Amino acid sequence: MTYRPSAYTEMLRCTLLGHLRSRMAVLLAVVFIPAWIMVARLCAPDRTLRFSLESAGTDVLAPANHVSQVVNALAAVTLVTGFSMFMETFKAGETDRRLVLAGYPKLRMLLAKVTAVALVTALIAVYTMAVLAVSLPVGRLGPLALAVFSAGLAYGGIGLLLGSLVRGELEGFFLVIMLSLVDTGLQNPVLNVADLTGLSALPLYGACQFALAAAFTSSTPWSHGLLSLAWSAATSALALLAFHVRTRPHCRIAPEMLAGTPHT
Amino acid sequence: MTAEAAQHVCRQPRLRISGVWKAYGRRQLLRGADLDVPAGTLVGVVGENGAGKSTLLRIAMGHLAPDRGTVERTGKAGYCPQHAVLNDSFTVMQHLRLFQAAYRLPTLARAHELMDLLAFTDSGRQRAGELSGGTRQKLNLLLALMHDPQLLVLDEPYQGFDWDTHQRFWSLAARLRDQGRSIVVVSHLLHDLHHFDAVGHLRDGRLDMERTTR
Repeated sequence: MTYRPSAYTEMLRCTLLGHLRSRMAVLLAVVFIPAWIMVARLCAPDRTLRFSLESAGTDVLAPANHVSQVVNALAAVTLVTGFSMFMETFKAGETDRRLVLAGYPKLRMLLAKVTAVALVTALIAVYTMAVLAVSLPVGRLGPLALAVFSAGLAYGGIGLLLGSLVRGELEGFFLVIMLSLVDTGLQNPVLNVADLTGLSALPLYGACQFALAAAFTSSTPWSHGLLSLAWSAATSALALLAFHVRTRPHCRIAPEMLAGTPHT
Repeated sequence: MTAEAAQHVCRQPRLRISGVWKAYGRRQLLRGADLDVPAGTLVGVVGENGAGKSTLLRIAMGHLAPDRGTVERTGKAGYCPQHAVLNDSFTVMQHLRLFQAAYRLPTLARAHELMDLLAFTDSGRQRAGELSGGTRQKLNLLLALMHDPQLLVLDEPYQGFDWDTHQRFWSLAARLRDQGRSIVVVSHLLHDLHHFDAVGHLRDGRLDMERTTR
């Protein structure tokens, strides 16, 4: 065999296959996303809701049921991407450290993982949009799909960071679920907390504003979509930093043979 | 280079651990441990459970920082951790290709030879999570050997091996030593001690070296 694999493509291929082999993550994506959208469709009231949407710069009138479906779709996507990226990164952690200490290029390893996050999130976003398109009368699918994608990216990055940082599986699960629940709860206009200070500092703020504007107004606030991308980039950079710190060698590797004299 | 000079170079250490101290909390595990491993030697490290053997090896590989003391090594090194460090989602072949990229190897010829020697050529398509304990350990060892390193640091590498594979491991270790490789093996099996050129007993945080009559 003379084929020499590229560090980036080999890690990307293995990571993608690893995601697909994770039955729990696939089951969550296939079942939980439509189920959570359906819960909103069946349980949320049909009354018209008036809420202030900062990204559109105006008040918006929309059925509470439809708003809940969009927010629940974002919640489901953030949970699935956050959970699956955390699990993959956490399970691979020890082997990744072994690979890096054996000479695997760290940056290419992390870039491959970030690419895998983006590809898996894109797939989940397309699936979520297919479900939403059946359930909701949405005219502008493209911008809404991008909003769902950016929400998934933000939480995919958080999963990646937590997978590189936390020591226990349960801690990671709890943090992903808690953050997603609090974030989607606070961003939901049905719960009427839109004027809470500090809301814009949360990871889902940009994606949620983008999604609601795309679904219920004619505006497309790209800058809000970029906020989620910034979250994704920042968490990925922090994951790289955490990984770098945890894989730095602690001994001196001499290029030449060691001297035979006693060492002090 | 004269024969004498060549012999001198040959005896220079590939790994030198000097006055290493390490504590976990209040528990002082290593108290000034020293170890020199020259080229072409097979050194054993023995000691009671919890004496700090694995900690010493992890420090030797630079995976763990000592509280005091220094570690110097030269050349390519291969490390086989005590518990198989593998990604359960990846197949055996995926592990080989990833480590091929890590070690920048042009081919997997040596890895395939080692698979043959350790008798698990049929497991290439199996995922690590599906392998038996012994086969996981074979893959764990293979990943440390596949780039033909000059220094091998092996932490109880034969756990779960059947007797034949156990014997083949020691034949391989002896062959590598004869080819000039430096090998450190943590062992707790008394009947393995005769394989070593020297044995370091880890007692009270220090290594007492003893040459064997191999």
